[in-house]
Amino acid sequence: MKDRLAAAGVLTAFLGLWQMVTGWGWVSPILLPSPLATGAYLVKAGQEGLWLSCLSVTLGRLLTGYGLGLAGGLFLGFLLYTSRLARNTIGLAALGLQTLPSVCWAPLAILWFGQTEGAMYFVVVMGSLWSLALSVETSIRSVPSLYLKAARVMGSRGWHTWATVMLPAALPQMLAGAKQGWAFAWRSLMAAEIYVTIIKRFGLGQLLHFGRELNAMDQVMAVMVVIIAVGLLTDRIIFRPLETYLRRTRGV
Amino acid sequence: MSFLTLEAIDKTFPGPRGGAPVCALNQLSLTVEEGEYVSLLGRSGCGKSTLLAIVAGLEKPDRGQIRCRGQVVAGPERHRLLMFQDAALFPWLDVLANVLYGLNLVENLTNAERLSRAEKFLEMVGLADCRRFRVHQLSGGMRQRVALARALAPDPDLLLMDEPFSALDALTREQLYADLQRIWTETKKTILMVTHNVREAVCLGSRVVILASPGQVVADERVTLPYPRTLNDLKLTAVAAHISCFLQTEVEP
Ligand SMILES: Nc1ncnc2c1ncn2[C@@H]1O[C@H](COP(=O)(O)OP(=O)(O)OP(=O)(O)O)[C@@H](O)[C@H]1O
Ligand SMILES: [Mg+2]
Repeated sequence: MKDRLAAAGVLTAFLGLWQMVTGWGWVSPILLPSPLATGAYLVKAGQEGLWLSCLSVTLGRLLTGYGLGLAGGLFLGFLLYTSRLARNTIGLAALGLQTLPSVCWAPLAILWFGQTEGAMYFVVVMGSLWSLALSVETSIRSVPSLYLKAARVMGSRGWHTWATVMLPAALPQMLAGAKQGWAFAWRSLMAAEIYVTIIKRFGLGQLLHFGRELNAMDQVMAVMVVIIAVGLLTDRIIFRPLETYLRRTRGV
Repeated sequence: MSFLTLEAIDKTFPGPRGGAPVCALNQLSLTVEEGEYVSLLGRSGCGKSTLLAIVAGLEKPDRGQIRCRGQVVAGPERHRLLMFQDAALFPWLDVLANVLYGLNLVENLTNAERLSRAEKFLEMVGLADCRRFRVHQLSGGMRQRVALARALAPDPDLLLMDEPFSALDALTREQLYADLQRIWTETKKTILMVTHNVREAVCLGSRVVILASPGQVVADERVTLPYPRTLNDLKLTAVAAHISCFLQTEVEP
């Protein structure tokens, strides 16, 4: 409670300072909108149903893209674990591609897929797949061999060992990797939505992009707030409970 | 034909970087008959755990052959079950599910039979009330007892135990000695048990085998005292004293 009060205090002070700097005209509102203006836009756009429509489009893309990345990452991760050849080729490529900022994929995506959903998914998958694959591989690799031995002397083999030992033992690390992959996917999607324009399906990234074109910085700022909120909420709603569950049951 | 034969087993591990390799077993030969309870004694690091791992099929010997029931041991198999020196319980399962793990791999059992057997052994090790506990909620000794229940429940033909009682208090230990003797005399299974406690070795073993570094058998004695034995029996104490004396004088550190 005391921590929360302190945090709220600091936050209010920060907002107050921001309001002062902008409200008293020290900084032009064209460069930096005031928190009140940003808030006003947030509310107005909310009443128009803009957030609802943008969020449903954007989150739909994110889920599809991330789902594809996750499936591919699991598959590639297992491949990297089992095949030395894959490790020396795909593994090396993944290590390099993982460091490539996902915006770099946007030109190619537009060239190959045009201004389509496909281009969006492509950027999201490329932005998250490699880190997901590598983290799946390392999570499996770091399962203590004692567990595997214990399972084997009790008669476990092949698929049974995978399902009952490898996966549950690797789960906490895989979850950490999935969380990081999620963050990568989210950033990639914002890059994709800024570059790829689909008029009929308007996402958060496009809203931000057009805010810039119209010099409507309150709009840009409000979209940024929503993007951050989505990031925080997914952490709280999806990843945090899973982490807590694992910590509670395994005591790590 | 003997139940288990080890013929001239050599096992060397790579040593530290730049150092000489470590010889863990050196021309070790041993035969075990069906239904024997062999206690293995020896100083720390003389190769006892390595011997069990090789019999379990987890490690391959450099040279030599192990046969169990005439079959060459090529890998792990559930009829030769090893209970590890560290309990090696699965932290993603609760206590009951850990004990059920090996039972689930036994064919020809209904799930109800599996459950009742798991509960029976949990009861035996005194943890019936802890069936829903998670591994991290158990003390070291409780973990060891769960591991013991997990190893006994699937009823393997050959049970390999690596210091199964090292973390237990004296009372629980003596209780489990009695239980283990009863199980052994009833089921006539073959047991190979590593221990550092000479009296424990004599109390449980129908035979005491002493290893010395590097991995050789230096003594092999039959213990003829009648079962059930208790730790404080005078004859048992005398045999144990004799073996302790042998260990101190004959087995070089
Ligand atoms: N995986 C391994 N790699 C390298 N050396 C090993 C390995 N396992 C065992 N050794 C070496 O082999 C020797 C025998 O080890 P082992 O674990 O069999 O001893 P032990 O008799 O069980 O000892 P303790 O009573 O302390 O458990 C030791 O010198 C050890 O350093
Ligand atoms: Mg040992």
